[in-house]
Amino acid sequence: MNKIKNVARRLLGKEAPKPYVIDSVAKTSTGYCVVGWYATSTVQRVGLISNENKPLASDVTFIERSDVVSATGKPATGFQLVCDTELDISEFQFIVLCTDGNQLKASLTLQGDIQPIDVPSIDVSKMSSSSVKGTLEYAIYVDEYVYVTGWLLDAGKTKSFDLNIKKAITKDTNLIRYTRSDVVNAFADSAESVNAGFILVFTLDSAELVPSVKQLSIEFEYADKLEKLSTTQIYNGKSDQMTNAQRMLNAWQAHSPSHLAKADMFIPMLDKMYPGDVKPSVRRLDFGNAAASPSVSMIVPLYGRIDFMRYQLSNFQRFINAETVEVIYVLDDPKLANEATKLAREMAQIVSFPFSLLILGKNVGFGKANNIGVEYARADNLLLLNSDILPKSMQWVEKLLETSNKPEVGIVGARLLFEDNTIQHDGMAPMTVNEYPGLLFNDHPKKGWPIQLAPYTENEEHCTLLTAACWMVKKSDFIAVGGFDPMYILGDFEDSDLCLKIEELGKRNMIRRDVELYHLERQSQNLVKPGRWKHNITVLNAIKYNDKWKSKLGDLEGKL
Amino acid sequence: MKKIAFISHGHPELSKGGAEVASWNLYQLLKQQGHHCLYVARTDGSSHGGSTFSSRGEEVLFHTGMTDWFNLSTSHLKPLFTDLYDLLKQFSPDIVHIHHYAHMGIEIFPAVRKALPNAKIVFTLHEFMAMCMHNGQMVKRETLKLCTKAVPSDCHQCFPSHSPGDFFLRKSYILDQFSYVDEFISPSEFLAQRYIDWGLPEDKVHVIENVLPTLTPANPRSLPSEGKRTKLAFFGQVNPYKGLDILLKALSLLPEDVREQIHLDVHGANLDIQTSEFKEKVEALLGEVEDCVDLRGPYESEQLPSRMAECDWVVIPSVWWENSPVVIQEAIHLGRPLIGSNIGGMKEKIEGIAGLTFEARSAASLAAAIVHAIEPEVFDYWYAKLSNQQSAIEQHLQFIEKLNSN
Repeated sequence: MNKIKNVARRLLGKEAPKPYVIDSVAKTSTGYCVVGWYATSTVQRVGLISNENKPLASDVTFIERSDVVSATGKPATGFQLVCDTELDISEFQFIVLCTDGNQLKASLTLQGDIQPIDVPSIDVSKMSSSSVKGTLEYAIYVDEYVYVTGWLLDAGKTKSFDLNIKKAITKDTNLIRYTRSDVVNAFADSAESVNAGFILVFTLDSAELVPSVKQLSIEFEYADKLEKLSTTQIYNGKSDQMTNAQRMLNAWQAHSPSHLAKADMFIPMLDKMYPGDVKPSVRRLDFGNAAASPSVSMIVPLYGRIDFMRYQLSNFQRFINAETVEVIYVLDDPKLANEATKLAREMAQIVSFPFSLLILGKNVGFGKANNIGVEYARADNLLLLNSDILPKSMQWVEKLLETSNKPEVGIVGARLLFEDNTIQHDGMAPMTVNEYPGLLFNDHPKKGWPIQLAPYTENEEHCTLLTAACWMVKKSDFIAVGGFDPMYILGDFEDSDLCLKIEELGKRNMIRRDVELYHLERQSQNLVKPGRWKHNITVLNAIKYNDKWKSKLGDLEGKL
Repeated sequence: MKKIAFISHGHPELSKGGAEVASWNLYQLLKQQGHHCLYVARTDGSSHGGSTFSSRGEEVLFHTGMTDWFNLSTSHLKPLFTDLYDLLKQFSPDIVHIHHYAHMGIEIFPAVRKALPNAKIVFTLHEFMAMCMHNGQMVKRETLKLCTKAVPSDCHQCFPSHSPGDFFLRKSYILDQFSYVDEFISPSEFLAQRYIDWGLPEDKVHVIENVLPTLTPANPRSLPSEGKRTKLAFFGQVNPYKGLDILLKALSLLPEDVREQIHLDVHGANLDIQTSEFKEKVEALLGEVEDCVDLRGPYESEQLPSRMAECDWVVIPSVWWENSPVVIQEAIHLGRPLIGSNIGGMKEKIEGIAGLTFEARSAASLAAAIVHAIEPEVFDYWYAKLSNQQSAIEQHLQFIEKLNSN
């Protein structure tokens, strides 16, 4: 129906273009910065307003936007709004006051953030039965698994639900009941609103039945009557993995012990959504005259931000011997294929340093992107490098190679610094986090320390766990252990996993502290603040990692 | 004699900035000396049939643009790596004198190097654009506080939409492109030192003042008996960095007996295009001192000698560091001492050489300097010290001589 409306609107020419564009939204240390422009003829003022309709005080700077004027042929005003606020980005909106008195509002999204998914709000009219209040919000299916979520005003007493699909036999059911603040707020006077939320995962005997279903229902007994909740919002988990992973994990409260104990109910579904054996198409573009027989193959995955390629290649041109090193970029972000190709072509004019760009047909994650890059490597030594790394030391490749060439050495890592010359990575160590008893995460000891407070005596030292942001490793060793384990979803722990696998070969991993590189680590997810789907994926990966390496990690932690 | 290509980001007849004028004067000088010179000036707008080049007299106009003002980079690579490349290859100069990358892209350095692997690339620094995104002023955005060092986390405070890491990358990329330059010229010690501290190799940075066309010094204004040196002049753009507001405020603070005699001529333009806040501020200050201020408007370079001859002192009250403002050299050559802010290039070029300095940004300090300056013996002392010798000409010629010999 909406589609038809849109088409009609377009045909009737009623839909005027938005009189403004937001170019970027960034987090500052004390609030947010919004940059964009508006059509001077239609817009009087722009600002920010809280969801409670209170204007937020912000500093406005006007910017001349001749680019917009020349592109649109109309007068335009550029602006930068800087706002100090403790509100979350979801708690305020961008507001535009038009010259005709109209107001337009728009939600803002941080750059690089994913658009928030629609979370259904409590809608009393949709309730299925007069005797019990509840909603089945949506379902996600992945092969034989069906995930459903919603709420039921029964104080969490109902523990048994059936999935109502013709001919389908349920082999297994997993359930979490939990308190949802939105339900508690909507039914403040009802004692039944506690533990109203439910998350269910059904395992069916067949993967064939769900895709054809238009409406999906669950049945349960309430007050001695058989009740039913239905939904037509049914998503295929394999079709937009990231949004569906969000839908699946946003509600899971991993920091709560009862939820954490149920982690296993999500893992099989996510594993099917992110299969390890996926083989994306690979398109290869070569630029410049490749070295005849390089001794090092550098693999650099690109995801999200491709402009790092500019800074790196410009640096490599100055500081790396093109006869020794071949550089292979792996674009793990298909939607940026055109942009990356354009930038690569530009860089091939600016620098003479040869490089290749592999464009993957599918986003496969950090580990798999590297594994694919390695298939194209011609040299005996691999240098895995993140795109947001720039070397500080001269002769850094030669020094890493010197250590890597020793037969007993496995992986060689380096000291990584933030742009203010404080330590970002100096080797990793297992760490426990209070919220997740029994799980070991990777810690970066001395993170943020000024380098003068972290002196060292030996240029190279044994260090089992090293971040794959910068690694040199013999290709034969990498292949002998099967490369990065693809079981980790969206990239976590595969570097420490591979470090442990290499040491199991009888090799020793080393850190070269006299090799310093800058690592402009993107704002990493905060491990202590729960509630976000990406964070939850980290927790699930941690569970997998700990299951696999429990004893080895315990030994390591004991040694520290 | 040598073949020298000049590349400027503007033609001085079309855009009269300090860098354009400085490159033009050097071009004229070297041409007169018998060097075979080509002047390439970047220009706005499209040209005939979409060609990358057109001409203005003997000079080549270069039609291109910059696309990324954060990295000072351009994605218009054909004009640089194909068109300019071919043109330079054809001219095959011994030296390429680049006076800016703005509006063309910082990639002009690798492009020139690619075209001419053996030519010497000389780059003249004119302000802090490479290290400071705030128009190269090294003055904090919003507060206009003086900034002494470009640190990524501080730059992020001025431009919150770019992370500290982005500023780190910006610098790294710009330094990479500067690595194609053989020699840097800075018109002031101050600017040179800032760039060396920032990361340019010290042995490649040379301090040589901009050259000027020959100017004949004017005699001091004739004074009536008991008369004082009370005629002040301000030359330059009227914008928040040039400090006209400080000067107007200083006039209002003068003791009554001095104030009655003082006269200020403002030779400059562009108040009309400033932000309303600054405009209102200047207009309010002008209202307070309208009895002793004349707004004379913009001037052509031919009008400068006669306009400057009318005054006793030239005041340069800039609130930013300045590099080596041409107006200081012009005043020295035309025989007019200066009163300037005691920071950066102004301190270097005025203090002990060409006049008085005052505490930058302090109207009270400037007022005190004016009270001191009007005494005829103070004027006479500094007037006598001014020298119209252009050592810069000799230095530039020697520099060119030595360039290809080593």
